[in-house]
Amino acid sequence: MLRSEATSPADLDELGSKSVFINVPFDVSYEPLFVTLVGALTYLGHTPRCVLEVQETGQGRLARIFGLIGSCRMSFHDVSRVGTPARFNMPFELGLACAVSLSGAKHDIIVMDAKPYRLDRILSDYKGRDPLIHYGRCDDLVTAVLDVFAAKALPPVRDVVDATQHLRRAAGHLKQDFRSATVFRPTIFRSLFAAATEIGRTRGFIA
Amino acid sequence: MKPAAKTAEMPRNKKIVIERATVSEMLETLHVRPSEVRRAKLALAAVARMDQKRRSARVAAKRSKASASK
Repeated sequence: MLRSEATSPADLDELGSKSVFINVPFDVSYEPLFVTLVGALTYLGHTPRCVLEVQETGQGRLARIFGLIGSCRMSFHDVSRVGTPARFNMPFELGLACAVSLSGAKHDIIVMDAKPYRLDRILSDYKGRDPLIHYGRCDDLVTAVLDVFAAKALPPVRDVVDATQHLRRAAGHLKQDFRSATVFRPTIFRSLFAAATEIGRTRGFIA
Repeated sequence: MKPAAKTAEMPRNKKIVIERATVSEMLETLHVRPSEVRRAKLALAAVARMDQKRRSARVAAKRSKASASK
């Protein structure tokens, strides 16, 4: 069974325990932040997973998304897209992640926003937890992500920022290569991740 | 200028410790195909070529500036 076809949050195996689910808006203006997040997590030795892995075959999609979230040790949810047209996918997947966590699975949830103090107003059920604030800027996102993890052998922020810039440039070339207007395609996502592992390996972040 | 991201805005006080994966484990987890790895390497090579071009242009500009000031 493919890992992305997992349907139970209970199957957190050895590889899943190093995976991180990312739930972000798939729009062009978010691309730099998405690439930055993929890069930063990869450089820290975590495998980014997202719904791009879950194919649009219709039947069982929701169960597969739930299974994918459950197969990850933690998840990042960006709820910064609050304008019109309304985007329900991010809060919906955040709800699924909360369900995974409440079901007793070991699953940490990180919520991100672009503006401080906004989350309390737009998602009052989640009050009491401070989100990561990235201000819509890639470098701040790196700082925020690094802050989440324990400092055991973390690479310096400056090095990670530099490496994510490198990855963003590679993402532009990948889009050209695949003749795609966006990086939000399964094969580009995997290539992007492969590029991030290569950058991380050559810079000594991961082995 | 907007303030930088601060530790005070962290989701929780505790830091998260999760085990780190090796490159081969990571590629296995995402089922990355060899063709995708190849394309990733080509993209990185293209970035390196652009960097090299930019460096060469910078050196050439410096040289021409120096020779013009002589």
